[in-house]
Amino acid sequence: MNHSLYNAAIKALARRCDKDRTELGQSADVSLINPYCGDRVRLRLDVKDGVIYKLRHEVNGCLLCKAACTLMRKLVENSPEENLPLLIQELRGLLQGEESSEVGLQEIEVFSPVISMKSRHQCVLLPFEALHQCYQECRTQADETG
Amino acid sequence: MKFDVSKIRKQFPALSAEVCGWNLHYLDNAATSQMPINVIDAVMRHEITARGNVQRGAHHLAERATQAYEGARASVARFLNAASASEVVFTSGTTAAINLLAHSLGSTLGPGDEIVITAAEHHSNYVPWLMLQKRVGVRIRILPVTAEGELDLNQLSSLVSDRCKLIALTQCSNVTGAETDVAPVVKVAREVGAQVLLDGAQMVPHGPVDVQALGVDYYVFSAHKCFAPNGVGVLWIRSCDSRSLSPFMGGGGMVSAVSDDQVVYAQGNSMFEAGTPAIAQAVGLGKALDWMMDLRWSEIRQHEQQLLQLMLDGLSDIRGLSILGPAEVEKKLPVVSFAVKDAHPHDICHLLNERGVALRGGHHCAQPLLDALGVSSVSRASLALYNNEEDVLALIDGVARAVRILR
Repeated sequence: MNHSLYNAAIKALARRCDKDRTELGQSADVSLINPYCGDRVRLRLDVKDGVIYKLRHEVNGCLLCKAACTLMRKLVENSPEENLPLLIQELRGLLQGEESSEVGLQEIEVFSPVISMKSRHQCVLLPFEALHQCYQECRTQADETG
Repeated sequence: MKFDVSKIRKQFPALSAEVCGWNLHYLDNAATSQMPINVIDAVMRHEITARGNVQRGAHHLAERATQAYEGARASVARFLNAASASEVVFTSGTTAAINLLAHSLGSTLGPGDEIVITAAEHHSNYVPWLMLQKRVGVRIRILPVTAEGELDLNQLSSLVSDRCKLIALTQCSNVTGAETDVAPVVKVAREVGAQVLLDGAQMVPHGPVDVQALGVDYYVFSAHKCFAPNGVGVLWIRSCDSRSLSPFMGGGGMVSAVSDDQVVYAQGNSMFEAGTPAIAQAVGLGKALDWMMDLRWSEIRQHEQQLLQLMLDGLSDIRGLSILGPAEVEKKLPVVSFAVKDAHPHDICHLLNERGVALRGGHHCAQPLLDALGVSSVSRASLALYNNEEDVLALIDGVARAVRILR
């Protein structure tokens, strides 16, 4: 594990965080701002038959925020929607210095160098919090349409 | 005589620290400045020898606390060239001072009245007025900035009508460092009978202020930016005793009599200081301002401008870096915000910290200004009198390194 915050793995993830303009179908749409620095994340999410079908993101943020967004997309697209809360819980746990309890989520450990830097936790969490809100919006939409 | 920065630096213990194995280069002075040892000593000595509550206490420590607290008020008055110490109100900082005024003055305003603020304000001189707009229906008009981030004073006359009751503006931008030409603002205000509030939070760390020459009605600043403790600030009110302002917070110390059905408020500045104030912090502020008044500020100004020029030249050489605000050192204080293509401010600040350089990145609580300048966040380096050439060179090297890593 590379303990440098700006290691090759994080930088590579950040570089892949290009804006995706592909249109979605009926999607949840959430924008979040980090009040401390003004970073902005906009997410749109399509869930189909209990599977996260597509995720689109626009990030105006730091390298960590971009890297988190790229990894998040990789982890959640085409995965069952019930995995989402677990993923967010795992990331929060990682940043608190807790051992990962789930096999298969080791990829989020790329953010281990952030653990000791409390002021940067929100940079990583912002996309995941947006995702959580998107997910809840999807659930509400699903409940309303029966 | 040339300003001896090494002599000044020795008075600031925090500056000898190491960060990540590198000498500390503290360039976040626009947020909080460091304290000289005499101020730290004064606060500690106060807590040991004069810790009591102020006013009304008959015992020795209360008497000493009152003397020290009122002594600090007198120091503030001298620093500002105020007519009297009774014009000085201690608050918890600039934000509290502006909120106090927004409530106190705001209670006399209503629909049809107007307040002019500027797009260059810190949120502390923006949000309280927007809240007042919501509360009592005053109209807030906003003076825009030019493409260079300076106040567009050419538009002032057309914005200030005879319904304007107050113009509230900064003396120096906390983002661009641009200094405000206050005289034309006061002139326009006087023509319509409006008052002027000047936010001096960024100006005060760069030398004594003359509120008589400025001609404004209210002046605010914070202690933590001018070599003094956190938790105390100042609202100066011209002719405080004769103004028809109402109190903001109720409690002990701001009344002369209270009964079941009546409250008689104290007069003058006491009316605004409800509850036990931050006594030791105010004492520290008084000591810091006394210390500042003993310095030769024309030499310090020259020193700061030389460093500012070095910083502007060095940063400008970095490819893809753009500096916000005026480029001429004569137009600004040593506060420099910059954006770098493909390198986010948070990442730059983080990488500079690895080299001991303390910067700030983000929107700097000035989102309307950043929006006007087309950026969402920037990195900011801000100098104080104790900074030296090594600090500036470390910044320039550090930014160049950060850009190499991030691109």
